[in-house]
Amino acid sequence: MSLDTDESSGRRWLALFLAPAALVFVFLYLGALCLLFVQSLQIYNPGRIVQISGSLTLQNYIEYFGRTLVYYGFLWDTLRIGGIATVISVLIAYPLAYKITRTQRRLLKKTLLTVLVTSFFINSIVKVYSWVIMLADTGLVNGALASLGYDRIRFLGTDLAVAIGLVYFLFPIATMALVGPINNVDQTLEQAAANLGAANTKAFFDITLPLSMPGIIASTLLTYALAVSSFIAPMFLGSGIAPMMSNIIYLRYSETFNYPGGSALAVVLLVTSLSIAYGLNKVLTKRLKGFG
Amino acid sequence: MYFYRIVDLFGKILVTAALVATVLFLTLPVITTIMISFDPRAYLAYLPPPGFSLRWYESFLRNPNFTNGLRTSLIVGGVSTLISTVVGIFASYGLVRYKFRGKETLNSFFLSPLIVPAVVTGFSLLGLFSLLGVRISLERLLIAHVIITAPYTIRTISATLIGFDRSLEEAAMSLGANRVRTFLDVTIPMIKFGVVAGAVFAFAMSLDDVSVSIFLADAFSSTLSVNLFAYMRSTFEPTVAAASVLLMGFTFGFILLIERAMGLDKFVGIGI
Amino acid sequence: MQDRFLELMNVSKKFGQTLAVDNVSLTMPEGEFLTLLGPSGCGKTTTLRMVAGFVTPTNGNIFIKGQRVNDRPPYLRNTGMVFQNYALFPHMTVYKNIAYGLKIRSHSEQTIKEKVRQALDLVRLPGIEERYPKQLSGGQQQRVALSRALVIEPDVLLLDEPLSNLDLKLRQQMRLEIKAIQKRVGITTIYVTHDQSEALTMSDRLAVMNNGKVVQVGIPTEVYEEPKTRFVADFIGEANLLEGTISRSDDRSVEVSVDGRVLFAPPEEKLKEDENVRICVRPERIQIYKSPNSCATGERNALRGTIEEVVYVGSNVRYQVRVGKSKIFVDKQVTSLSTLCAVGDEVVVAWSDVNTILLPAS
Repeated sequence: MSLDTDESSGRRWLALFLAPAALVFVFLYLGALCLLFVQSLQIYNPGRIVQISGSLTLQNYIEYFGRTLVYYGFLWDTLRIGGIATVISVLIAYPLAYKITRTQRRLLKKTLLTVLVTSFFINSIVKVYSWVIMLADTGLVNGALASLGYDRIRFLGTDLAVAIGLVYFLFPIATMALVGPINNVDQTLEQAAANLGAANTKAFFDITLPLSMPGIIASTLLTYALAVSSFIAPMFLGSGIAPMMSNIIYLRYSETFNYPGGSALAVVLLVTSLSIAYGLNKVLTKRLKGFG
Repeated sequence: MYFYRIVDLFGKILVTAALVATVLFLTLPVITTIMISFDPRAYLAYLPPPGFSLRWYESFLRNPNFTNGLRTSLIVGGVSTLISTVVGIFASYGLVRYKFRGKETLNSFFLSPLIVPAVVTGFSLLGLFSLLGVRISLERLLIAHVIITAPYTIRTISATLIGFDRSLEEAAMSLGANRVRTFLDVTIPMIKFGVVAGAVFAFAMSLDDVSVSIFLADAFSSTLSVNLFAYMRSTFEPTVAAASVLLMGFTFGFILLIERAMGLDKFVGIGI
Repeated sequence: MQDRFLELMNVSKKFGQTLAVDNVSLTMPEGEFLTLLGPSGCGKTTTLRMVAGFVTPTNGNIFIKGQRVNDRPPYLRNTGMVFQNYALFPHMTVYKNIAYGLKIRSHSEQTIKEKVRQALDLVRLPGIEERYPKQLSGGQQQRVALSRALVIEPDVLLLDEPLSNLDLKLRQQMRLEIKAIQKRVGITTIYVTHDQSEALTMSDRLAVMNNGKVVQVGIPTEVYEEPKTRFVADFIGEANLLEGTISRSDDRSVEVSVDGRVLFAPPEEKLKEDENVRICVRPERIQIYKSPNSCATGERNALRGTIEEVVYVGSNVRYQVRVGKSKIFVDKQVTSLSTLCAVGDEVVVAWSDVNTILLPAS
C-alpha cells in the first residue's frame, strides 16, 4: 500500500494503524511522564502519593539541589562512572563488531554472534549476581589472588566494581549498535586502499575507521544514555556506597514515600538521559535514510 | 614496506587478544554462577566447590516467593508480549508504509521507553496508576510491560517491513486484492519471521525487567526478577545461582527461537 | 620490452566445491591490452582478482615481470585496479583520492601535487582536485578512478567491468578514451567485460572464457572470423548454425552435405569425409537475391527460402528466412526503404566459401 497520496481513505487507514500504539503511548506513557513533571512541582503531603493542586512550588528541587551538594555528588558519580564504563564498553565493542562483520569464516562468525546475543539476553539478575560472586571477598578473583599469594582486595562497593558491572551490561548493546555502521563501510574501498599500497592496519585507520565514525559516535551516545540510567548493577555492586541516580530515587522513595521529592529527582535523571540521547538523535538523523 | 607487515602482525595479535579477553570476560561470570549453583557449602566461599549438591535448586523450588514470582512473570510476559506484538504490527505498518509529517518524531516517541531511564518509567507509572485508581498490581504490571515491550516489537517489525519489497503488495493489489486481503495474504506471511523475533525479544525484556516492576509490584503480584532482587538485598545465597541457571535456560530458548525465526546475523544487523 | 611480462600458469581457484577458475594459462607481453570476455560466472573477475592479489590461487602460479607473486599481499603487488563501482573514498577529495597511493610511496608533497595534476590532465578532468566523489557524475568518477590507478605507475592495470554502470553513449565514448590512454601510457592491461563489442573494439587480444576455462585466445579478427567452438561463435557476433556431414574434403575446398544440399567451405586438412560438422555463417556475410541468377560469382553457397519476418532497426534490417527445416538470419544495411524485401517473398540466400566457418559437431 504505497499510499503517499492524501486520499482520505488512506488517511483513515493510517489512523487505524497508529491508533493502538498512540493510545498506549500518548495517554499512558506520555501522560505518566507529564504527571511526573507536575508532581515534582507539588508540595509533599505525607498522607498521599499523588495529588493535583494548583499551588506549584520548586521546593523539591531546592531541597535536593539548592541546600546541599550531596545530590550533585550523586549526579556527578553517575555521569563519571557511567562515562568510564561507556568508554571501556565501546573500546571493546569495536573489535568484536569488526570481527563479526568482516570475518570470512562462518563458524567464527556464528560463534561470536551467539556469544554476543546471549550476553545481551541474559537476565540482568544473573548478570549482577555473577559479578557479585566474581568480585566478592571470597569470590573468584580474590580466590585467584589468594592462591597466587596476594592479599585479598575489597571490590564490592567500589566505583571499579560498578564500572565493571556496567560494562558487562552495556557492551553487548554497544557492539550491536556498531555492527550496522561497520557493515555499511563498503569493502571495495578497503580493497582499493590495499591495491594502492596500504597494508591492513593503514587501510583500517585511513578508510574503515573514519567511515564508521558516525556509527561510533552514535553507539557511544546510546551507551552513555543507558549507562546513566542503570539501576541493578550499581545497586548490588555498589553495595549502597556508590549509588547512581536511579538507586537514589528508589532508595529515597522506599524510605520516605515522598513522591513529589522522588519526582524531582526523576525529572533530573530524565533530563540528563534525554540530553545525551538528543545528541544521539542529531547524529542519527544525519545518517538515517528514514522509513519508507 | 616491511615495517607495515610488522605493524599488521602486531595489530592482528592485539585484536585477537582483545577478542579472547572479551569472550572470557563474557563467559567466565556465567560459568562461575553455574558452578556456585551446585556448591554444597552454605556460604559463598572460594571456588571450586568441594562437592556437588542440588540443595539450592530445592531451596529455589520450595520457595513460594519464587514459584509464584515465576508464574506471574510468565503471565505478565506472555500477555503483554501478545498485546505489544499486535500493537507493534499495526504501528510499524503505519510508520513504514505511509508518509506523513512528524513521522520521525512519532517514531522516536514510540521507541522512547528504550532511552528513558527504566526507574523513571516505573516511578511515573506509579504516580499515574495512583491517580487513575489502578490498584491491582497485576493490572499495573501488565500495562507497564506493554509499554516497556512495545518498542522492541515496533523496532524489529519495522525493520522487517522496510526490508521487504513493496512491489509484492502492489502486485497483489493490481490483481484485485483489497487492502485487508493484501495485508493478510501477502504482508503478514512475509513479516512472520520479524514478528516472531520481535515477540521473543519483547518477552525476554519483560522477563528481565526489574527497575520498572519494583515500583508496581506488591505482595499479591510480583515478578520473579523483582523477588530475586528483594532476596538479594538481604543475602547472596546460592539460591540465586540456581535461579540464574533456570533463567539461563530461558535465555538459551530465546536465542534458539530467534535464530530459527530470522537468523542471528539479521537480528544483530537491526542494531538497537 | 618483455615478452613474458605477465604470466598465468595453470591457475585454478576452487571455492568450496565449485571450480571457479579451471587451469587458466595466459602470457602477456609488455604493453598489451588483453580482455577477458565471457558471460557472468565464467571466472573472468576471479582471475583478475587473483592477479590483483585479493584471491589466492588454489593451484598454479602468477608471474609479474618474471617474479612469482602468489604469496604477495595486494598492497605489495604494484598493480593498479579500477573497480566496477569505482571505489572512490567518499570522505576524501579527488586530490586526496589520487594522492593516496603516492603518499604511501613516500613522494614529496611537491611531486604529488604535480603528478595529480598530470593524472587529471590525462583523463581530461583538470581542476577538480577539491571536489568530493559524490559531487561528480558517473563518467567523471570513472575517470578519477582510472587516474588514481595510473598515477602510481603500476606494472599492470586491471579493469573490472569499469563501464557497466554508464549509459550507452558514454560507454562508447569512454571505450575509445581508455584505449587511447592505455596506448599513450603503454601499460600492460587486463580488462574484464561481458560486452563483446567492447572487447572487439579495445583489445589487442582477447581471451574468451566459459565455466572457468579459457576457450579461445586471439586477436579480435581471429576470434571473430575463426571461432573454434560453437560457444565462441555464438558469444561473439551472431551465428547461423546448420548441422551436416562432410561429403568431400580435398585441398581446394570442403563440401558439406546439409539437408540434401551441398555447401562449400575453405579447405581444412584435419577434416575427413563422413565426419559430422556444424556450419556457421554470420548474418551480415549473407546476401539476399530474388533469383539464383543474380548471385555474384564465387557465392557458391546458395539456398532457396521464404522470408518469414522482417525486423527493421533503422540502420539495419534483419530478415528471418525459412530454408527447408532451418531458420537463417540475414542482416543487411538499409540503403533505402524501397529496397526492403517483404514477408512471404521467395528469395535466395547466398554467401561465398570464405565466409563458411566449420565448427565441431558436439
